[in-house]
Amino acid sequence: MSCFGRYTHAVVRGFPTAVVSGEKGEEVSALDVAKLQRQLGVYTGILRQKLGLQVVELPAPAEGGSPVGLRVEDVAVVHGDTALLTRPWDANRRKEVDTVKSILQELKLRVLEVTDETATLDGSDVLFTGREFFVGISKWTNRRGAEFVADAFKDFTVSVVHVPEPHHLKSFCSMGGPSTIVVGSSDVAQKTIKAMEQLTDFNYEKLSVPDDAAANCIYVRVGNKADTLVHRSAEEFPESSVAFQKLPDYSLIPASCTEVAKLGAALSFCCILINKKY
Amino acid sequence: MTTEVGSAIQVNEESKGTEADDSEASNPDKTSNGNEEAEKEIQEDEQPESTTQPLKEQEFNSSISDASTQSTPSIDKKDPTGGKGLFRFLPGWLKKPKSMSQVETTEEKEAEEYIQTKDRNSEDEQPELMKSTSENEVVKGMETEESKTDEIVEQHSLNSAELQTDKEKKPEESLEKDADMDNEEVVLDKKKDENSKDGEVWKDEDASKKSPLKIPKKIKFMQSKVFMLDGSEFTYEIEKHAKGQIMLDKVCEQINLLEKDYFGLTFRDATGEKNWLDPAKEIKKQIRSCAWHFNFNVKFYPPDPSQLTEDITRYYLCLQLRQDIVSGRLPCSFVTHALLGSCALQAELGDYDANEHKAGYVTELQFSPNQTKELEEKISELHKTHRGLTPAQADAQFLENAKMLSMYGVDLHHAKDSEGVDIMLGVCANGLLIYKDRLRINRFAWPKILKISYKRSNFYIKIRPGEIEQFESTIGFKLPNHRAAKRLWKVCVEHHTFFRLLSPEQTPKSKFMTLGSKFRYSGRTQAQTREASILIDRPAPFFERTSSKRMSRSLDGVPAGGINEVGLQQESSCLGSTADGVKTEADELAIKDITTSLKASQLEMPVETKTSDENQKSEMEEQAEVIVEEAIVIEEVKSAPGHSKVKLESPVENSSIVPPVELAAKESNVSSSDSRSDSEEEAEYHPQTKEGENVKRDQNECKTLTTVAMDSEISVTDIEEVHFPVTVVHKMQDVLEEDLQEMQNGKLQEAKQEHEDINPKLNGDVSFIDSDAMPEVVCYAEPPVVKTEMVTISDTVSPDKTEIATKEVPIVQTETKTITYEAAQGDGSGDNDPGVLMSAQTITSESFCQTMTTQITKTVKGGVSETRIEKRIVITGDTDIDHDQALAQAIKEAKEQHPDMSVTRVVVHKETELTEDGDE
Repeated sequence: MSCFGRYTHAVVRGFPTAVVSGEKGEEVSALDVAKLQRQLGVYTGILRQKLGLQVVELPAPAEGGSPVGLRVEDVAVVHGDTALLTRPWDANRRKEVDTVKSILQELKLRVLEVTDETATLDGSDVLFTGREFFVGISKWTNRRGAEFVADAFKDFTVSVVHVPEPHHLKSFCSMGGPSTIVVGSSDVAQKTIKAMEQLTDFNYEKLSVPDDAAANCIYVRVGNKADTLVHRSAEEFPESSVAFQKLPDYSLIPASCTEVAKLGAALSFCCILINKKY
Repeated sequence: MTTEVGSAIQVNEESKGTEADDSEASNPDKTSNGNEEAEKEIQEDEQPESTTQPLKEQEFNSSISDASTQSTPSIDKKDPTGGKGLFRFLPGWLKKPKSMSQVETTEEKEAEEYIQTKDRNSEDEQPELMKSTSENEVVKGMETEESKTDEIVEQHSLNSAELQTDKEKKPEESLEKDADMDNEEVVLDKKKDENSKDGEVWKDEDASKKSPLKIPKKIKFMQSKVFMLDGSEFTYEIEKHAKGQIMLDKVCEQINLLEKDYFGLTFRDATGEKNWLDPAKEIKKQIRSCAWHFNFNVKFYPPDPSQLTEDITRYYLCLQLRQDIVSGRLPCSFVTHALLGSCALQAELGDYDANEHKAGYVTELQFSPNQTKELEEKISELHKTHRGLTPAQADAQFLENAKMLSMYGVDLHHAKDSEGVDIMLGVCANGLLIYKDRLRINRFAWPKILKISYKRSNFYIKIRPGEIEQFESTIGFKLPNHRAAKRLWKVCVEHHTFFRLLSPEQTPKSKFMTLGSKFRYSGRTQAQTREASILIDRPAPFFERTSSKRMSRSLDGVPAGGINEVGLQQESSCLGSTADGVKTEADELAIKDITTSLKASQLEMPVETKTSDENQKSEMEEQAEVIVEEAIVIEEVKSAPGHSKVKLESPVENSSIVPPVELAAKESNVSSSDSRSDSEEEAEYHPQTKEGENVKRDQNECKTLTTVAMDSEISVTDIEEVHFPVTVVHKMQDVLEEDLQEMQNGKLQEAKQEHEDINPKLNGDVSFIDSDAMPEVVCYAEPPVVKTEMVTISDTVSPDKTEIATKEVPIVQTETKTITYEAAQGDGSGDNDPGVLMSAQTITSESFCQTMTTQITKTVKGGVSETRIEKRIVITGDTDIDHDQALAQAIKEAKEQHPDMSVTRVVVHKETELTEDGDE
């Protein structure tokens, strides 16, 4: 618990040069690839320099790779010394798991896999609060998949909440601190957070932000208890970025990801954070 | 299981009643003691003396029954006509289905008789001679009844003393599973040998027993085995009709455990299900025909083990958790597993020593159901990092990690939801958890639950309307069978009471129109046990932590723990009674829908009331429909913030307003038998009923606890000179510790915990304030105040005598007699001299709105003997009571009673309940 927000490594994936339509194929055409590359570069820079993480950059998928592959969070759930490789709903994405697997093994994590053919699990449906897991049962994640989370992280309660179709659980919420959940203001987001409040044994503070997408941030503790929050920039979500000012004594780092967002991703989706000093 | 056994016990119980009464008469203060006091007596009584054992046993029992009488004084004394009183007008066959074995019938009668005797005794307060006459009458009546019984069942019809003695010699005795330990003569002889102060009484009884009308006394003992958490096995001789508490007390005494409220005994019923032994009920009636084999287990897992007072308690909690882990009940990750294992290793083996701890030393200890080499290596690696931790510290660290585990303290029960999907219901300190597979799908914190009930194999919770749901909703679950539903319900009632309430709820009276089980948790709540244990004053007991090897063995042998222990889906049962068998069939037919369940109850009623007339049957059906109304009535009554006294009376008013309900109430009393019966079909429990009164948050109650310590200096303090500075504001569990040390005059002192071996300080003995145990406490409504403050006052001794104008007659009557006033003691100079404790005595008395406990201790310090009287006065009331005035009054009275002593210290502990948050 005390080490919540502390990380040593981050795994990211580059954007494929040759884009093949995947799940979000139709939107790829709308992508400003150059801008996306630039934003991804800034993002990696923040992880490396501002957050002091050792960044492991996975090679962009070779030909035939899907651009959504940069959503590495989907393919692994990592806490402590344990990494659970997921089984993405999108069959095309399952091969992404292999590359991540080798990296995680290199990092000497206990790597577990979802072995059940009927299970589907996207990492972006898994919210770890430091004390427990919430798994969004969504289009991409089913109960069977959630059970693997429970099996992999036996110390923790794994509660399930239903997330309606266009969303992943973390599309509208994320941790903004050791006991703070940042949540969007949409009906779906508010309904889900209510369900979570009902399920939990703990008391979390709730930071509601006007925009769902802005509720996905990255909370990291840098150095000696310096709360740091990477959040969507004021250009993208002016109102929401004001809301983050309420967090006391935080270093706020704005990051734009307009282009990544077109792939259905948000800030946290693009990296796997690992703490080797667990 | 013969009639003769029953009748022997009847006498036994009578004598219990008499003895209890006698002690009441001789020492009126004794009657007002709470459970605490009785327990102390028990411990004293229990010194193993082989020759006097049976008699000791009896005393033991009587003090227990005494204690239970005390703890629910309103039932037996205040309310002689209600409750069980009604019971005696019913013939035995009405109370139980005919098909029940004859023993059951006899038992009923016993109970009946016992109550009668008690009623008489308590009502009349007769002198002893009179009493024995009344006893004779009782016995006569009893015999008549018994002969009726004989007509029903011919083969066990031996009532008279002669016949019974004959029968003792017959081999039929071996029908009993237990070895028959004693016979009448032996017991009597032993009694004569007894030189205790009760000797007279006993002889008296012996004489009366020898009269032809009396049935000779005979105590039967059962050999019971208790499997401990460390794998050891204890064997006890338990009086056959002893209550569960006796056995638990024996076990706790043997292992030297004081904080025993967290623990309990489990047994396996005929279907192999794990059941908790109810301390308030007879063991025999709970385990029925099963072997007297028990497991000692943690019943309530403290959410914060660091708040336990003693290391030995933590040790046993550790052992339980290790068992939970090994059995798979408490899942944990590899890392946590290794960490916990290493803590256990450190606690047991001490620091890692390369010479001593050769490769594979971990293997000898079992930590996991499938212990891998990798795990052992990791454990060993972590073990090295714990260097320097004492066993107690290692245990504490173990618990700090274990308590974080998600399944810590969760009692799982198999169930199906309304759609027939397999789920698990987990009962824990915070509420009810619903799991599907390993995923939590819902959670109902105790404050959200309005009512818990079960009906046959269905278990229901009624949910308080929340943000999402606008109306109260009832959620039903289907348990594998009726017993599983009842078991779950009981566990819920117990957990709710233990963790959420300040004091146990009273057992519902029969005029409360509850159907079925009247079960309530009657032990101490967590709040009470914390208060009590904070006053534990003894050097840390020595105990050895060498369990693991034995533990692994015992786990192989005993089918304890294990996930599969939770509810096997057995529908059929092999319960002793045919009635239950029929019901089980009904279970199978049982309609899963709530709406149709009423019909089911009609189907089933004939089983329940087979022996009674048709009228009753129809009324029972009616009653089933009334039940909703009842619930409302009860809630109304209970939501009125008030005290137990109020509570007792209100239902009467209500039921007189609603006559049909009252009628139903009587019927329910008839039909549902009493809590002894295991055949109840349904019961309900309102977790919220105590809100605003007894629940930890939203308290309306305000208690003031005043302690006046006096010492033998001849001076009287002027009340006006007492100052009331607030020195400490703290949480409830930090209940003040009584300090008998003399204080420098006018000096403030914070209460702090000291041990007797360091300082001759004695912790106060009123270890908890149980408002229910005080029949005459006044409590009014009060806005919820969330604070507890402790005020420590030392008054200034003024030599001039104050005029004392007391409004009331002094209430403590006997303590002055026992003071041995030896010499005047100087000031607090002797603080560091431990002194020798010569005697300690505790007297409790109650008056209108306060309970006064007087602790008299005699210590010898450097040749000077010193007598200290410590009075602990609990004033219960609301803010309308001027507590300052009450305090002043109390001090005044204390001084009045002991004009030859001086008040050296006044500690005020004012308690206006705390929130739950503050508590955790």
